[in-house]
Amino acid sequence: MIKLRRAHKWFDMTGRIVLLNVLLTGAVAAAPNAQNLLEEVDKHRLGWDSVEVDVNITTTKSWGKKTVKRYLVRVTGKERSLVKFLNPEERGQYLLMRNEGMWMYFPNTRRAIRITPLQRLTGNTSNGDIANLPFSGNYTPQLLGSENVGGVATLVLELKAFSRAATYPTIKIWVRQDNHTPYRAEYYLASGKLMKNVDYVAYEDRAGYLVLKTMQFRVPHKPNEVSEMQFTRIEPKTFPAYWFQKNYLPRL
Amino acid sequence: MKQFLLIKWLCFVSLVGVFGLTKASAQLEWEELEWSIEPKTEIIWQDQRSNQFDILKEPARFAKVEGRMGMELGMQYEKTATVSWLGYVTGNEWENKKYSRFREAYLGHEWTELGLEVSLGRRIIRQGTGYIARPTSLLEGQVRRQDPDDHWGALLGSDMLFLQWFKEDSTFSFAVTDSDKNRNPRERPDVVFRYETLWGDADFAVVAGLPDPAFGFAWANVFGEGLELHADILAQRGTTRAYHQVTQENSEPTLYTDYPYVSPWEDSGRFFCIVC
Repeated sequence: MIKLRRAHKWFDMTGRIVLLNVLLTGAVAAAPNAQNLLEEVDKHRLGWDSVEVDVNITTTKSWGKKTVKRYLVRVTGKERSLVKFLNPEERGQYLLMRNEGMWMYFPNTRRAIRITPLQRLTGNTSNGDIANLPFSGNYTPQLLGSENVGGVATLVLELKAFSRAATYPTIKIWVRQDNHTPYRAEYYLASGKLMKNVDYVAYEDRAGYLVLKTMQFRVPHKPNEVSEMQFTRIEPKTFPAYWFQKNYLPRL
Repeated sequence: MKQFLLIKWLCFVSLVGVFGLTKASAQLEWEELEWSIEPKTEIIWQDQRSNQFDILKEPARFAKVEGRMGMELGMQYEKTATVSWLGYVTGNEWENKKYSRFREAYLGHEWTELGLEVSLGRRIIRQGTGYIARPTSLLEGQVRRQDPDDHWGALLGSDMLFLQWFKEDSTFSFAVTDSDKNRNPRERPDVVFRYETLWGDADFAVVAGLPDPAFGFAWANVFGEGLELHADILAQRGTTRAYHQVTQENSEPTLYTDYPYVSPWEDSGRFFCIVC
């Protein structure tokens, strides 16, 4: 009898543990893994691992003046990006971003010069924004929770930079819960100061997959100025590995 | 004179090459043929100091005002054939001059699957890591000190056979030139090898030259958000005079002397280092 009671007790306890386990596993499965979510965000931002993108950036000043700049961006892997400046006044300039650093090529200087991380932040839409490297190869994500932003259910991710190719030390990004596309983001400096507000405003359907079409940048100290970055062409492409090294820039 | 003829010939070959390519190829991509016309004007006002110490015993100061007006014409086809010409008239208080030079005129070919590029002709090659001083940039012509980024376009190419082999993280380059005939500011080797790579996160290069032996390193890296360090070191056997800018910039007769260069320094025959 005592044995039977013990057995019953044992089964009772085991059953509770199993039930608890099932419940916990279910809860973990419901909250997406932060790294997987970030990789999905990157897929919506660029579409493919190796791409060629035509980028137009239209900056509208507070008094209504518009300037348009055009770039050709090539991204391969998670940490290599090459930007060709297409505007006549910047023609012949290239920017190379890799995990090992950043280089800029100016036609007059005839050679690529290594530049500092600070210089990747120049401009309303910084060099780092144009280079558009995937977040997942350069930041460690942490899921902060969920939030309702203007009626849209989102998941909030905090990204901390671990690579030299990362443009901002910290990024907070709101991802739509329904389709896991990025909805909005805040870019922070090392001091914790908010540097940019980013809205991901339009996507286009590419073979059943949503790929980013337009995003808007706003700087807190210029509230009436907006820079709109449009991806007018996104094409999957492979490039020779040696294109993404500084000495080849004059040949591109 | 021979050099001038050679350059003329190379320019002609480059032009024929470009037009030959354009005519011969049925699949010609006209957008790959790039033309550029760049008008240039400049007025310089500067306090100058004569550095003919051995004659004057002490430096003399004088002001110089100079104006230039000209243009640069460029033509390039798929980065394989390039011709660039710069012409201008310049004048100051004492003289007027006309200047006409082919800055670049070369033909090249690239084997994309190998990452290998070969070119022949006058070409501007700038290497080294520094912004202004680059001792390991052995193929580079003279740059105006007032314009290190060469906005005016004064930098002339060197006549050479040039080979580059690009790998994912490194580049090997090899050049054969006649350094005596190039408009270089100092004595340079005729055969130059250079290997550039990433050493950790830093840019690193080894350079060697012959027949007068030259050997050097270049290195650059960034630290933190804004600190940038560059280092070029070259050891070379040669003369000391080459490393002192004792001539006037254009090597023309100046107010104080009717010959551009007085050389109290002779060949030292020793090795010495240049560091920036």
